[in-house]
Amino acid sequence: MNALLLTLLAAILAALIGLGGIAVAWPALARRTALAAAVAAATGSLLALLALVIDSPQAVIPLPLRLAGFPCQIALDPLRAFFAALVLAAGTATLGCAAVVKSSPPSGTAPVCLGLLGFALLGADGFVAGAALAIAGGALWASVPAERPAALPLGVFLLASLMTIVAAAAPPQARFWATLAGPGLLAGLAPFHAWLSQCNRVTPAPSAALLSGAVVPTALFRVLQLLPGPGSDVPPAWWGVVLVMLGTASAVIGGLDATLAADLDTAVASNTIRQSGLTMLGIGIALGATAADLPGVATMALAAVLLLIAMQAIGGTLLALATTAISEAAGTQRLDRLGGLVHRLPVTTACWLAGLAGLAALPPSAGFAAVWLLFHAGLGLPHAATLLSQLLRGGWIAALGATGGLSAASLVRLVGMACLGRPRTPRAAVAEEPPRLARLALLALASAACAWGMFVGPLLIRLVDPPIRALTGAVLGPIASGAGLASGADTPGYAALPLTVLLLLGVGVIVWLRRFLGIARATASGPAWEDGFAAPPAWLPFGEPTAQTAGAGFAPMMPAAEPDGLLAVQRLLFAARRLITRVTLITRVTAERRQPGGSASSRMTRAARPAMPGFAAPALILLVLAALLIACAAASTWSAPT
Amino acid sequence: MSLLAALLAQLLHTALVLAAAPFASGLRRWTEAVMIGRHPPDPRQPWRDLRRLLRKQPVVAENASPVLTIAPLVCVAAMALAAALVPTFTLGMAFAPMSDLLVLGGLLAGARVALALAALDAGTAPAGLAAARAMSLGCLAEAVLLLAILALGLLGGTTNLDLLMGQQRQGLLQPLAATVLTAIALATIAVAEPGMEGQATEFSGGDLALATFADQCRQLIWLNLIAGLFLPWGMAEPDGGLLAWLGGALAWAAKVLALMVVAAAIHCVAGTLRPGRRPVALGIAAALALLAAIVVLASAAAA
Repeated sequence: MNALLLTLLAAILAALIGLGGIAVAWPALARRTALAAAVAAATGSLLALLALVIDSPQAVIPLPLRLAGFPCQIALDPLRAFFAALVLAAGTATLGCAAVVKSSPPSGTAPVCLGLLGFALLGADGFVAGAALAIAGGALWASVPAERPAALPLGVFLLASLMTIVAAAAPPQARFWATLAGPGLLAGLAPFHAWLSQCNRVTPAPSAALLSGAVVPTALFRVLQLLPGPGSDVPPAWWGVVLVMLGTASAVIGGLDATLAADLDTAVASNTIRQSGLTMLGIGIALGATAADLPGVATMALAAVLLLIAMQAIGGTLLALATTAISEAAGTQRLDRLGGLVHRLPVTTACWLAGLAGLAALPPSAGFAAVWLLFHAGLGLPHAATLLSQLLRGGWIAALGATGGLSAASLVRLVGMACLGRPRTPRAAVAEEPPRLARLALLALASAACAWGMFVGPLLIRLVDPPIRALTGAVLGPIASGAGLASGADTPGYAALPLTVLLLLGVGVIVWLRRFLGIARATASGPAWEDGFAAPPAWLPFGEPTAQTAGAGFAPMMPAAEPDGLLAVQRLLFAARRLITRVTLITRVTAERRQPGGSASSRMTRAARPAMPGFAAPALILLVLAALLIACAAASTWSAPT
Repeated sequence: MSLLAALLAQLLHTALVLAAAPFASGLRRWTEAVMIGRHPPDPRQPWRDLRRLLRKQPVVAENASPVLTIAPLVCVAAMALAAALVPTFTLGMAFAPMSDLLVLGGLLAGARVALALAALDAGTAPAGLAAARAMSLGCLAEAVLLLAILALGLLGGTTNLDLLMGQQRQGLLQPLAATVLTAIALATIAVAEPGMEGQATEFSGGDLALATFADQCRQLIWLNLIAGLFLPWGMAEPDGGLLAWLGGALAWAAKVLALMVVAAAIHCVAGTLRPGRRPVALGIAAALALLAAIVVLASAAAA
């Protein structure tokens, strides 16, 4: 059964790539191909969901190509089916929105990128996965307008694909570091996370949504491969420690950045960094628990990990698409130029709020359920351990709380600044809802996010239990039940569904009581009380724009953030280039001074403009491709003895 | 306890706490006034204020959205649910399996978010600034709360409030040093946690009554939590009868009053905790909670 589904899925992914190609060749057909690609992605998502629900054993089929001694196979098991269903569902919404967006016709790169990401997930060996990831990165890069800088994201993609190939065949130690350096970087792991926000800013709307909802889950799928399968060697405990530390740092930095971001794109990217940080933290706990022979704790952490990834695919896509809708409607992404959108865009505002609340640690959201699971996994880690590991546990649990609080703060800030209050610009005051299909996609994603929160128990049993069994051989068991979550058999836990019902009941009772007691009188409306200040003049129709809070002060006071790792390297390179330029300049000027007649100043201006040679970017790509091939060869020699 | 009795206990408990919340607020002001030597206000004054506000017609800002109307409802619903989850006079109530400490923290955070969104809705400067302050302080409070819950979870092996209180009654939450440290940490969070100060400027009439009531509930929830977790005497057993419930209710009233007197005394001697000092207080609470967790683990390793 799985072999049939896998063949169909591969055909759909190939069709996505083909449709993208058609759109690239004939831009006039772009909207129709985007719609067709959305339908294809939806079909693929349903097929993957079917494969997940029927839960049949792994199927492997060979691809009709053989390269560098690799077998080139694709596979379908419950874990891959889980990820494929999520990524293709995210792709469906993205392509559907791209087909109806007003400002620009959709480019064909998004379906190509989605199809290749699907192959990167299904690839049974490192070569298929790595190559698909590299070309997907190329497609994403091609969608970026020429005038914007996009070399850094492309480099990250190429590095990730290279490291995927290396990790698939390398000995365990090298596999760990290669996974961190490749897919870990692609998922936005601190301290090398800033490329993600830069990429989110420069890429057009559909690519940015794919980055949140498809690329990051694909990268996290590769990180999940670090977990030992049933019957394989247990990895050393320090793997878990490293992942826990890096994940905690990413979660806090992402939460902090989302609370400080000046524009929506950066905030969405920071939310992604926070989410993948929490995921890494969960994977780290699972690794540590496996090393300490605590399968129950490892399963709990893994349930949290898969829940977080599902929410990243759904909620991340929702946030990216809502950002697009808002910036299309209001002409800007800057928080200090938005405001009051709830009156003009009620549907988009509700979805924006639902997406942020789904990712935040507020009951009854799925984000809260994930935090609950992570906390209880931390509680289940061994008591008798070194002081250092206890301090580490205290540290990451405090960070879990801090990032939960930051998620709530960023929710209030992003909804409050963009959608509530008074419009800060005339354009924001006349914003309009996105087209119906886009609203439908937003509503579908928002209801999926709410459903994952309310029905977290049943959904975990149906959709997360099979992947965990495929990954580690352990079962979910008493962790999930119809009502919600529990930390073990016969222990009370987090009852998501009853809590939701009680909350709604509480609201209903208050409304009914007010009506019953005759308190609910018609509401009068009047001007907002401005603490006695004079009314704004006629030429400020929305009031004094600076008299509203512009989003400062939502994050607790922190010491100035250290510069990001990659940016520091970039800065270093710039400094080196400046130094070289200056040295050449000095030598030239001194040489010209020796030669009489030459005008030093005119030459100086020419020399001061260090032109980046036009062939640098292609040469860089060629260099990386060569490295890719060398890695393939090395990997094949590594894998030869086994 | 039969299901019916558990349901009855839950209903009585919820009604008792919700009715007591404004009264507790009035009593706190009364105690403080008496200690300072001022003429004390009537303890029933908050009730009267709520009744007066409920009779008034709400006036909302012209540019306000439905958020301003919905937010107080969500805020009160979350607070009432949180109040229903913290046991007062008996254990084993109907919601006992749901009364998780993390859920409690989450509900408090949810109410805070609803209030902050409403504060930003009308687009006025002071309320917006107050919302930003409350949210940024909330980040720290939540981190410290999770550390305190970690210490309690390590002490009792669970985060369920009903089970933890039952264990405390039987003297199972050992070592005592860790319990005391956690109690001080929780009390510090209760003092430093952001309330509704400055955020309710756009509410009026019934909405203001709801928001005020939610804040009064929040204060009583913290008192109930500390009284139940660290002073569990007199609380009825899960299968206790009506008489045991009555005894439990009297003991609860005495405990809450005693805590209030202590809080008022500290307030009179040390003054109010200034907003700028709250992060420092939370930092101290974090250190205490972490210390409590380490004490638990050290004693577990020694045993």
